[in-house]
Amino acid sequence: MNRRELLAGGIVGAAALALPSNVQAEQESNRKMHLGIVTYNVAKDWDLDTILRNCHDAGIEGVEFRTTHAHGVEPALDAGKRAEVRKKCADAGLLQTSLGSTCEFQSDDSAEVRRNVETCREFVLLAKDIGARGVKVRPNGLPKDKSIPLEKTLEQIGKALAECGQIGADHGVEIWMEVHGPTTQLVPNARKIMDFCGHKNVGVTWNSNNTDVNDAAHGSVKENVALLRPWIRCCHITELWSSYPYRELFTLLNQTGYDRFTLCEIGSPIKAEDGATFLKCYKGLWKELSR
Amino acid sequence: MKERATNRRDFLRGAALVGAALAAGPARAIEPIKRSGKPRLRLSLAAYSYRDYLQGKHEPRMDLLEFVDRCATYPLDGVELTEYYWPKPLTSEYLMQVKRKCYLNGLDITGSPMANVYTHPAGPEREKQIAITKAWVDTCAAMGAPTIRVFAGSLQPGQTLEQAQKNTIESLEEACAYAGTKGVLLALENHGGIVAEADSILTIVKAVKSEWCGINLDTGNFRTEDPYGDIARCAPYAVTCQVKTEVQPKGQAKQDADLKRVLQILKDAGYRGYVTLEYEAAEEPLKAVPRHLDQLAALL
Repeated sequence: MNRRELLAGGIVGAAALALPSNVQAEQESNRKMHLGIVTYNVAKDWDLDTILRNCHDAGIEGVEFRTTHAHGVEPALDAGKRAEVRKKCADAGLLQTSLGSTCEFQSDDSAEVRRNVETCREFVLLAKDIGARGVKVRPNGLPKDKSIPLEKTLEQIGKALAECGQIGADHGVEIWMEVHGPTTQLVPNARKIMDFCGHKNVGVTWNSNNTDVNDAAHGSVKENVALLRPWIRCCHITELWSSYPYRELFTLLNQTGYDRFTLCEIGSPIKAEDGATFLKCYKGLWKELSR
Repeated sequence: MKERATNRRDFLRGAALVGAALAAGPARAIEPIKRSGKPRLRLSLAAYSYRDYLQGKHEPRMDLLEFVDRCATYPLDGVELTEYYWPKPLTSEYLMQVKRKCYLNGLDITGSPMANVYTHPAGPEREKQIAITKAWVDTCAAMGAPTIRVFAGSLQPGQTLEQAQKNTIESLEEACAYAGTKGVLLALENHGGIVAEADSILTIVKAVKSEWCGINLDTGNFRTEDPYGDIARCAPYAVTCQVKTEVQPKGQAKQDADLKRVLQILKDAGYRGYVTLEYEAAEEPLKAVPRHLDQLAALL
């Protein structure tokens, strides 16, 4: 049984036996969710060893390797390198890894959509080889042809996701659609995509967008979280010191038994030598807001 | 890849905060104070806690020498000797007597808060505020106090928040440039006025171009909807900390502070330094302070 299976099976406690003491202390909380990072952009310029060292030192439990960054975890890796990445991540005590692809499916060019599905397949195979739990994909707005009805585009994205979902299912890898892109990041639209998709291996990565916030409801995300909650399999979180209602979001996730990852995704890169300090403080604020 | 929308806070508040941030350069990510080793919290007591005795309003009257004697009977590592309670004029002899007594009682002088206003534009009043800061820096260097709590102040007549922040940043940079030559840190307190909320004090402290500037984190002063969240937002920048026994969330009555939670926030931020009890609650300080110190000592 690998780490992914341990986590998926709900026996994190067993995995925690091998974790650093600061991570073990974290398990004493009632909180079930975990904290990880997206390499975008905190670790954009860190190599794999630096990422793993800083995460270990700060008690960070998961990493999403966003494509094109300095870590080099890409579909171009050969079998030997993939095995090495898998071993390094396991040895570092990570509970979860995932891959941040930029596969997107809104184009009005069917060949372009096809290319993105095939790229997603490459990421799925990479994920399988390195022991990653999921591949993040996305919509990225609407087609250039403005005459295409919104519903048609949402359906197209959903159907492409279903295909990716089946590819993932064949290899034990989940597909997570980031709630992303102009118009497509609006939660009701993301929900429609999920309804069109209808594949059990496809969920969403909540993306903590400003558009999640309902100002008419006193700056709450409650309504929008409810629309997507059954599909949330990962969660990107940004600058916790901003006014996005993170305490409310974490409360909503805690109340509904969310036991997966929230991943730090911030706009500015952090110098490698400052990484552990930054991540420790980020985790400190995360702990207070998600208690 | 994420195309991050305009920060919602900036969007809501318009140009004010943005302007100050731009004046300090491009928006930066949080840059916490870098510390080695595990968190380490040590206990101090603010002389302000016994202000009514030190000001002769209540019996027993005491001066700073007697305050230090009393502190030596408590589970303390240090004392915070507020500027207000030093005799005026302050003689070198008295200063050294206090320093000697602290040392012989095994107590560090952890800081010496002063009162000031940094929101003035360039001109005579700002120069006066900088001058009193520099003078107190000299005194603190002589007594061996590593930090001075300073205030920002309130908006001056006709002033915008952006202007007040800019003036405070400029004043702090000038004062810190001098303080650094004496090895003294200036710690801006979240204390009403233009720094009543976490956003504003973070905007200022992150913009000050000096390693001799940080936050004096007062855990009772955020009268916001989420005081503990605001404490956590500021903790990575704290160079000293004043703990209050009460908090007052916005729209609510004062309530007992969850001291365990407060200290955990500091530990999670990697804080190494003094936690100074600054007692302001209604109960008689001579009874309440020792009890709270015992509680804090057990939690450290």
